[in-house]
Amino acid sequence: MPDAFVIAFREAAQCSALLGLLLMFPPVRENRFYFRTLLLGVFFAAVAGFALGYTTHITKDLVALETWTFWRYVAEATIFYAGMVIFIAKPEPISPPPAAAGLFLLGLTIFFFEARAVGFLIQDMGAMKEQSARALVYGVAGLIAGFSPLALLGRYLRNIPFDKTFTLASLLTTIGALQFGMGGVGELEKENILAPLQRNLIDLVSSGIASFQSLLLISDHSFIGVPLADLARYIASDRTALALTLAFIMIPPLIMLAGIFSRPDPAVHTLPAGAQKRSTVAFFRKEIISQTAPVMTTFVVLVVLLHAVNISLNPLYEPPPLPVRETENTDSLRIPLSDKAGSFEDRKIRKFVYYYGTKQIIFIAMLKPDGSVGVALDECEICRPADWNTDAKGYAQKGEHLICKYCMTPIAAATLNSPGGCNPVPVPFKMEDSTITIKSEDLIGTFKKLQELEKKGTHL
Amino acid sequence: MRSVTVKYLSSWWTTAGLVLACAAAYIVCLFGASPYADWTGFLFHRPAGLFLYCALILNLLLASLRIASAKLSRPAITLAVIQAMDVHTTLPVNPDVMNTLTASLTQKGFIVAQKGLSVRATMNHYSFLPGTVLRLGIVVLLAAVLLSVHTRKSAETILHEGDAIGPPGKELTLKSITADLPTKFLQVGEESTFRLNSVQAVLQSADSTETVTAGFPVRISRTYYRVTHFGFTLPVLLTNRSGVLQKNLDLDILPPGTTDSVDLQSQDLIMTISLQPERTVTKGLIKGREYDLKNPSFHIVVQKRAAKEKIGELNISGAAPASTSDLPLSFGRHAFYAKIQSTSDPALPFMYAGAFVSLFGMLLMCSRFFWYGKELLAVRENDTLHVGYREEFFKKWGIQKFYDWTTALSEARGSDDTADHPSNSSL
Repeated sequence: MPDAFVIAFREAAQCSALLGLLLMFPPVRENRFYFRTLLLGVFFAAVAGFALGYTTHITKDLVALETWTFWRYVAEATIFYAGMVIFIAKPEPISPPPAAAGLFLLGLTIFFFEARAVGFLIQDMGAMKEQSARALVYGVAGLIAGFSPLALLGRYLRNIPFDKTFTLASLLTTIGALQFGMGGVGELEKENILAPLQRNLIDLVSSGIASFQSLLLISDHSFIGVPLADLARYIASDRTALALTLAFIMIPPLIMLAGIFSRPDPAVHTLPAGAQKRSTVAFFRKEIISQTAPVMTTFVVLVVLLHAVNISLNPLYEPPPLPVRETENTDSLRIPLSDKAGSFEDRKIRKFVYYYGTKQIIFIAMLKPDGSVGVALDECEICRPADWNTDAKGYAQKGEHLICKYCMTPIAAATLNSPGGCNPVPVPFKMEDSTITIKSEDLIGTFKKLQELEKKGTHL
Repeated sequence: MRSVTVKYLSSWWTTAGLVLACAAAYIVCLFGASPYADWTGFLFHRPAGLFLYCALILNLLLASLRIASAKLSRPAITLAVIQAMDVHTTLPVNPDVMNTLTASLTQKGFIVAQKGLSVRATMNHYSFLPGTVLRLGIVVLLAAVLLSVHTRKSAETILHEGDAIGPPGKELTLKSITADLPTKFLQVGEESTFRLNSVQAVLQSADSTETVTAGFPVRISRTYYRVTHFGFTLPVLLTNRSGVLQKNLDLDILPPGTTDSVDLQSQDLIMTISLQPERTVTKGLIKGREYDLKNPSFHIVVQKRAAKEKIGELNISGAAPASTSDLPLSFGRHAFYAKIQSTSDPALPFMYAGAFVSLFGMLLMCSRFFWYGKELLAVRENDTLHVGYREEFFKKWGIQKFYDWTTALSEARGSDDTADHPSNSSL
């Protein structure tokens, strides 16, 4: 049950860090009305979000987890880009009521989705262990404990020169970037916005380029040379999607940095004394450096984030496994080659997870280069990484090869379904009406046999 | 009222809003099974999508006109105009100040126009052109795509030598199909890539002969033709109760190694056909198969359709017809087929033009790093010369240059006539 406390504490502490930045921003700090409105927004987010998550039996049919995640991404991106819009537009100061409404919404946005996820998890933990009341108490205590540092450290935060470092624009962009990194509750939503953004951009760019080629009547062909096809393939590759993702996250801080550094130096030609000139210039430069600090912090956060999602370093493609179970009144798992989750025609591996008691059987399926389907367990006959290294278990994809994540051996995708060597362990299946059909007993049997094997690989 | 409407319609904020709305529409489509198809369907066929799309075209067009007219217009030089520039200052007037200023600016490369008591000096006056060319290309492209989506008529037809295509009276006959098929194609593992660089179909009409390829489409009588697929055709003679029937099997067996299946319902047979390698080379663990694609051999497996039971297997060489007594089939010499796409699309030339102009505009945009507008305005009021300066980009450096110029001008006239403190509008 302490898990409930830890999760609630962690999310509340993350929110209080963001809230701390906002509350110490001079226009908010010096105006009690704004100050209270912002706190009210966060309080409302905590209560409403927690209640929505906790009463999951009411809301689960209305809004799926993916939908909540999607709106969280939208909220984070809106805050992140609002900073850039304000920086460019330089709007006139607005009157207190709309400003207060904006602060209320901001307070609501920075904690609502986390509060909902915490509520959901605490309800789930309580239901699993049949100790709902206890889980609720731990959760609420965690939330209170998570926000308490803000109250205790408030007076120290006042000493930080927020008025010199932050503008409203840089504050919003920094909060947006921090939310990209901290947003979402790890137990429910492992991905931050960058991974799904890049995945969808790959689809958009490749479909867009193919469509444009078709409009120009120069559609690509699998073996006949077509003009500009290499250029189109290059543009439609993962690189463009990565470049666009980079642009998405780097444009706001870059524009701000350019804006800050392109401010003209103060006119000192007519100042009488050299010391006065130097002092004016020094003050100006100090101000620029102070204002750069939050933007540079945003840069650092975003670069760390990029590394965390392995976009720039890891060229391996590894989708998260999708849960599957037997279709109603049958003993078979049925996976259509094309459905809402995408089409196998993209020749990318798909991972699926089947829950067998307390065990997870992860298996892979893909359309091989020859057009046939391959299905295999996401486990090697030889390599078995140590328990602490479970991330190295299974396979990922690089081009037309599968890669064993443990020993990094490339395996031709065409040999999927062939047993032996470094190949993934094949799973018997049938194709019926463009649907992969796997008998659950075959899957479980293959999995059990594999578990009984004494693996020969190094067990690091 | 009209000018306000035009101002908002041509604003970059409107562009950003419209692009954002298109992006939002795509995000909504992500909840469906085929996001891109749903999105283009929305943009080109739904009233709201068409409104967005047309508004974007109009916005880009108006933005270009707004920018061009602003750059080309010569508003009267007043004190208010000067004070609205990036930086401005005042200089005490002496008899020579106008001439000195004019000479100095001319020396710096400005085009100077002196009119009465005012001076206008400009440099890189037409620097708006790269952006205008880029936007023009995008506008033409967007409009052509919209037109194409609504007017294009396209069809694909499989043709063999001697077949005809086209409307009655303007028929085109396929005279020949040629391809650069290799005599020795060695397929080693996955590394060898099979690629045909040239597939040509010669189409003959009553008055002309045109060669259609898989490259850019060829226009014949307002219709565009292009080869979209190519393969082997194998004639087969089927013997059944009603006699002998000849059929051309258009096979999809390229690249070598691919298998095609042919369903002969009337014979209750299924055939799987692939190319047969001339020889197999093994070197260590690597195995390669060599194919002679100019004179290919075919490997054919025949199965009973219902029972799925193999009843025969044969290899036939391209050199001669083949038959087998076990099967009610015999095969002729292979030929080629080409899938020809015929498209009628009035917007296609505009699409190419738009794409080309956009690309050219993008290249031109590189020049904007050093080709940007600079303008200096001066007006004499009573005993004071008001001078203002603006640079399109890199304003920080422009303001610094202005400080240097005005200081130099002041020093040239002597220490008593120093310029006032320049006011920087950005500060």
